[in-house]
Amino acid sequence: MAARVVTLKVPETTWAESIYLVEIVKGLARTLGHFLKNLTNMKGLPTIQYPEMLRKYSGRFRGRHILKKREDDTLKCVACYMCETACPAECIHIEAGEHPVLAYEKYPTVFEIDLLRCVYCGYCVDACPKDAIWMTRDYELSFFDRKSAVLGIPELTEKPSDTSQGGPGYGYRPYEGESPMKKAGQFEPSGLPLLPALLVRGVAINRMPPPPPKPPAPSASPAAKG
Amino acid sequence: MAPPKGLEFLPVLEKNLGGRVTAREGLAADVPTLVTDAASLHETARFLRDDPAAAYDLFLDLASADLSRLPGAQAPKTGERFQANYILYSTKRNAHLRLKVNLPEKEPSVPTLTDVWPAANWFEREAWDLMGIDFKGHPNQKRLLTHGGFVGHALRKDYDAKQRWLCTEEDLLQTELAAQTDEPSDMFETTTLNFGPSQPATHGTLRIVMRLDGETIVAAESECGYLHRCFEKMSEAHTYSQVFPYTDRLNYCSPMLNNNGYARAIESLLGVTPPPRALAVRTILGEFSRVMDHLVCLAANLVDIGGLTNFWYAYQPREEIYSLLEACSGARLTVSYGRIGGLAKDVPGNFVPWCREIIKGTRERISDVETLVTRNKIVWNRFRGTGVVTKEQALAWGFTGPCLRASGVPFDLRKDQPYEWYGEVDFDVPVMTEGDNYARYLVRVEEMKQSLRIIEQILDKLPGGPVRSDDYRVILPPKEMVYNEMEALIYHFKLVFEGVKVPPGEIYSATEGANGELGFSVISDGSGFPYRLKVRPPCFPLFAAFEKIIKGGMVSDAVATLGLLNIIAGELDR
Amino acid sequence: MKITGPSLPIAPGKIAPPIAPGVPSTGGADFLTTKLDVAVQWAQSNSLWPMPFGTACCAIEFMSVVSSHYDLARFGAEVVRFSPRQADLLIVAGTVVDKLAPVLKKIYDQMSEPKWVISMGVCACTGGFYRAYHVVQGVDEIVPVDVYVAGCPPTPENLILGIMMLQKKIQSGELARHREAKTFVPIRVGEDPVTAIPAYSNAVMAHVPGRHALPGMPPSAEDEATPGGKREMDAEIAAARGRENP
Repeated sequence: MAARVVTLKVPETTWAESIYLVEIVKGLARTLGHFLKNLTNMKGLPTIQYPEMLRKYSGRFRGRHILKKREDDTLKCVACYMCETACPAECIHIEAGEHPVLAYEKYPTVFEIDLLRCVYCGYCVDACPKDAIWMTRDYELSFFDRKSAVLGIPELTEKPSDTSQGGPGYGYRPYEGESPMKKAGQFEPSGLPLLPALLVRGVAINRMPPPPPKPPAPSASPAAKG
Repeated sequence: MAPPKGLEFLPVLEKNLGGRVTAREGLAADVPTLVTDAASLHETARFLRDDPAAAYDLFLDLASADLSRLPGAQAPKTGERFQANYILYSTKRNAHLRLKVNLPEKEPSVPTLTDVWPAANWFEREAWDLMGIDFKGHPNQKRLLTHGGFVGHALRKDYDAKQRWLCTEEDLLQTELAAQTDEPSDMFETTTLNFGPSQPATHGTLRIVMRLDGETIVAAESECGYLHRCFEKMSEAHTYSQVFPYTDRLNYCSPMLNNNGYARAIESLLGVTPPPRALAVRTILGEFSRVMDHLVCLAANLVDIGGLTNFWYAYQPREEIYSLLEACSGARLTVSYGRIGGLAKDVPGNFVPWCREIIKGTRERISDVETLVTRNKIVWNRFRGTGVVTKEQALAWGFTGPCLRASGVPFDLRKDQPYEWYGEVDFDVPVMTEGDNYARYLVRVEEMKQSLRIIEQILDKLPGGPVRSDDYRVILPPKEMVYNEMEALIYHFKLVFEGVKVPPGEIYSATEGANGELGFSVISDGSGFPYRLKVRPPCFPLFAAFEKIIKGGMVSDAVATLGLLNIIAGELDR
Repeated sequence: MKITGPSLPIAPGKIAPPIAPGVPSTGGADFLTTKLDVAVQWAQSNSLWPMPFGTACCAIEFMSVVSSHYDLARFGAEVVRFSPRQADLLIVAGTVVDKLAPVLKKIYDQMSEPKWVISMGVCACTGGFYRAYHVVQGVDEIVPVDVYVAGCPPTPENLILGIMMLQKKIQSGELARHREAKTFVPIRVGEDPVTAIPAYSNAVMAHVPGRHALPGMPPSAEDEATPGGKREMDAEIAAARGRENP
């Protein structure tokens, strides 16, 4: 398994190539072949005639963002600011407010994405711990002025237009398939219901990689445990 | 005491220079380092170039740094603030070297090395522009990347990243700079032609001011910086993983190769190895990106010399590769697919058969282009004998990549210092001795075919398994764990808010980009933000030498040469 | 398929609704002139000759748009002209940096009326994620923009949508273009970083964080070349003439 060095030689000029006419015929034959092939097989043309034909992008396409909702129609977003911090373009602007339901704690009173700053990298989707922001396959994002490109919560919760000819039009998402989130509230704020969660955590810790080994303590007291 | 590995010539050097040159210990993955001072720099440089035991004939990079904000043990000595790191390479010994010079805070200056390695010319100009290090004896120490109205040195730590300066027309390069001709043409007037920066044949925002005698170029001066997007300053303000979208936009014709190079640099600094499947997929997509880059280089260049049909033939496989990249990562061009410790997501299920289809289609289109171009008399007249770069010139000017291989030096990092899966596959490295445009064209076409061969071999033995490392201190844990487990959520939280905590250190890591050696010099200070990230752009020395290559030729030859050097402004100006 | 923007074409003789805030529309004018206007606008919108001012990655996506997969020739915009004198649509594709700003202004000035500008990609619209010392935070600091196409880079379909929106804007009869930016005023600012602000335009000061507009900015002059730029060009021409005819 190796690489070897190969010295290429400039090809010799033949007489036929010097007079050039032969090469012209060969070249024209190649292009004419393509032309006739396209003419007889119009369906096989690679041209995607937008806007009449739409290209089918994959389920990972990074287009306009969408904020997801729970079953009771509240936003899943808890205004934790992880997407705002993860965004390299600083295009997300969030203001948090207190939610009356204790399990939900916070919600965004303002959630704005400046689509003309966003670089569509998907880091906000990767960073969200609440499955609250996805990206859709909407790429039709052209505006007449800068202000209309700043999307607030009403625009961000709009269902994606069906630009993919089938399917709900969602794109980049944090997981494939069904949601792995076991329960909606997840971590109880405080109190006794935490205890079963602690037992679950014992199992969870074992699945984590071990922490890096601590350097040995110079003198270990018998009570301390490493 | 035996000299450190890679520095076997050190005893001789120490004998010549006394205690003024010392070796410095670094990471095992890093290149060997020598430390010297400004007074003995020139002598050291001459020794390193000329002595047969050292033989560092290729000047790769000058990474300057401002160490004033480094904490704790890394902090510089009192009075010292700046550092110049020269990265050198020896083609005979296949060895890199870093030559480090510490400089004072007040009026940092070193003697210029342009008389030792002519390639150092533009690198020193850039260090003057962005860091303020003065190079005594430099023939043309002017700003390179920023404009004439810019005040201050942008990469210093006390320079605010958002401070802009107005640029007016007077601040652009004045045309009389190309007015000095070597031999005055006594019969006819010479004219000045401003070529760029808004010019279709320059493939980007490049500017060359030429002095013409008829159609012959008597003198030329090239200028860059028209796409200086402050990549290095931005990378200091973002976490290590937030830098990935910025690296996409360096060489935007082959984005996956930039992701791979950057990921490799940070992973070496961390000591983390991604799983084998991730490395294999990175290699496959990297080679597809290399094919894409060569296709666009040839397509654009052939448009310039009049062969417009090839543009559409060459773009067809690019669209198919775009579809593949979009299905893997979510975006066609700026993929941001790499992560430290692996890839963002696993490839889709039909990856292997899809790649094979793309390879088949690409081979057909390359054969189309070859039928029209390779034996074409017009192409011979345009390409053969134009833009000649001899082997000695190529090495002196710091060339790497296809342009160096077309001049006769078989240096390819995939062969000489294999990484990812390049050690597991068979491939040929095409080399030619003529050094003209036709040689560069043939080398690129052959490299494309070899890239397809590499991809096929890896597809045959693509391993299964995960594509993300399971060390959650460097890569985000999977969502099943983040949604349901506290510890995973804490790892996730710390990675998003504080970034990957890279231990303090320094590294130079290089991969073979589409244009040559793409190097990343990283200095880390223990936090989640890079302290200094310098990119060694492969097309920087190519464009610096362009004004010398075209001298004496005609304008049309200059156009053909510029296309085949493949200057990508995003990478050139960073 | 959704196109953001008003539904058009506007029937001749009717007063067109405003396209966007502050954009005037033609009034109900003479029937014959209006018919002629409609015909001229139809012709203009279907034969746009783009000039791609391509700087970075968006230029590569623009090259994809003119390639066989998306084929801008279907919209009459095949004739891609790299000379501003022969083009009427300036597509700024990619990041514009401070060093390139005077060049862009000059190119824009060299185009003859009617001319339109599409800002393609977030770097051209707002500076994107390059909040940096050398990057223009949106080309509307320099030239008035008609359509902003978002994306990094925008998909080719998105750019085609932007061109279609521009076609509808042209067909609606909007002649006074929706401008946010003022003319490029070459003021050399002081060296003190606190007061050294790029004095491009009042409207844009809001996008530069923590900075404020310079006091006493001259008001915008529609369709007037920059004072310094025009004077320079005139001076150059005079000098060249002087050389030819001493």
